Amino acid sequence: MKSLNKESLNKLYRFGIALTGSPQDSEDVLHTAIERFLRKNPQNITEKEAFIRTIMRNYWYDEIRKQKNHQAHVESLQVEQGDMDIDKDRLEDIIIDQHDFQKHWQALQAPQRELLYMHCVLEYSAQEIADEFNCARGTILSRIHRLKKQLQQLSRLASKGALS
Amino acid sequence: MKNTVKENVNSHLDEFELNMDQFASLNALEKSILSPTQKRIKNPILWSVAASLLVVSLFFTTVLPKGQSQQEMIYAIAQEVSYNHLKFKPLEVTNNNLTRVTGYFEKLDFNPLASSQVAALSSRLIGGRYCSIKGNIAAQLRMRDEKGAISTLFESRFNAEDFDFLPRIENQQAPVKVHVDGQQVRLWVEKGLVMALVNPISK
Repeated sequence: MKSLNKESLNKLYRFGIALTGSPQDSEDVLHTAIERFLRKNPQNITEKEAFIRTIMRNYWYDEIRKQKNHQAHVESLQVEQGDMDIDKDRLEDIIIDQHDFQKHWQALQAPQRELLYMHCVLEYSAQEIADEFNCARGTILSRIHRLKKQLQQLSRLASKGALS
Repeated sequence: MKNTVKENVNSHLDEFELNMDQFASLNALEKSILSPTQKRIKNPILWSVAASLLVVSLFFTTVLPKGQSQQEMIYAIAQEVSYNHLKFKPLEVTNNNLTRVTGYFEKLDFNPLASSQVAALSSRLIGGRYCSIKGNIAAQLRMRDEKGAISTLFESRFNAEDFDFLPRIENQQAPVKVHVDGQQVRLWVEKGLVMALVNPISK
């Protein structure tokens, strides 16, 4: 493609997998997003990947809304009011067995997988993620906090052999 | 093997890559959208002319629907299949083997078949997906030639109400040929199926 190179397309495809949890849905979402992107004078868009990610995200959550499964997403966006100890140990540094992680990956909600992608693949800071999601940094911090607790619990369960 | 979450996320996602057909599909999509024949009209006068034409065509399609000629019906089918061809929607089944691809279409009330008209194209089957023609469920078979040009063969069950005016190969009638959206569309009836073949107009 003239508008995007292979590397960018593969990155967006992987983002789609993080977003949707499946290669098939990712292909569909990417295809739709690229089509919408190309119809908007792509030569005038500077941050092409971020622009397409936003289209993919909006499209996917619209699809989820249509399927009336949006409740989980809305709940996941609610800001937690509790204390946030995000600096004690960083989300991306939690140690977890690769096999257990892959099993758990599918069970994560779409916004959680998306957050992991932003944080671990793109290495975005909480502020940068908040900028892309167009929400407050505190919202992102609380989501990171919640996800960290969930992964720590998974790690503990795995080390006790509770995961089959 | 124990890794950090960061390593796990990266190694899991690195397993996925777009394949050649998926890249080809995105390339074709880009070509179809950015081709000069489909650039947007920016001149306001041209917009008003286009709007007037739209009003006139709406009048003929909604107020005078019964007067639709065969030519108009052919053009309507050609437009529908050309639109579906240019969308390059992701394939639901990817395979070069016709039997394997057609085996995927379990919801159809007919068996998609090879067509005598496609043999001359020297194209290779790459896959298929469900679609429809005039509201009739159809199979869409996508092919690619050596130069990378994509053609699409649409097949649907023959329904006299919608397709009786189309030429029949068995009666030695040649397919009807129409040019739509910079594409060549051929329509015919063969072996009890309605077939539509869309491919780029050769330069």
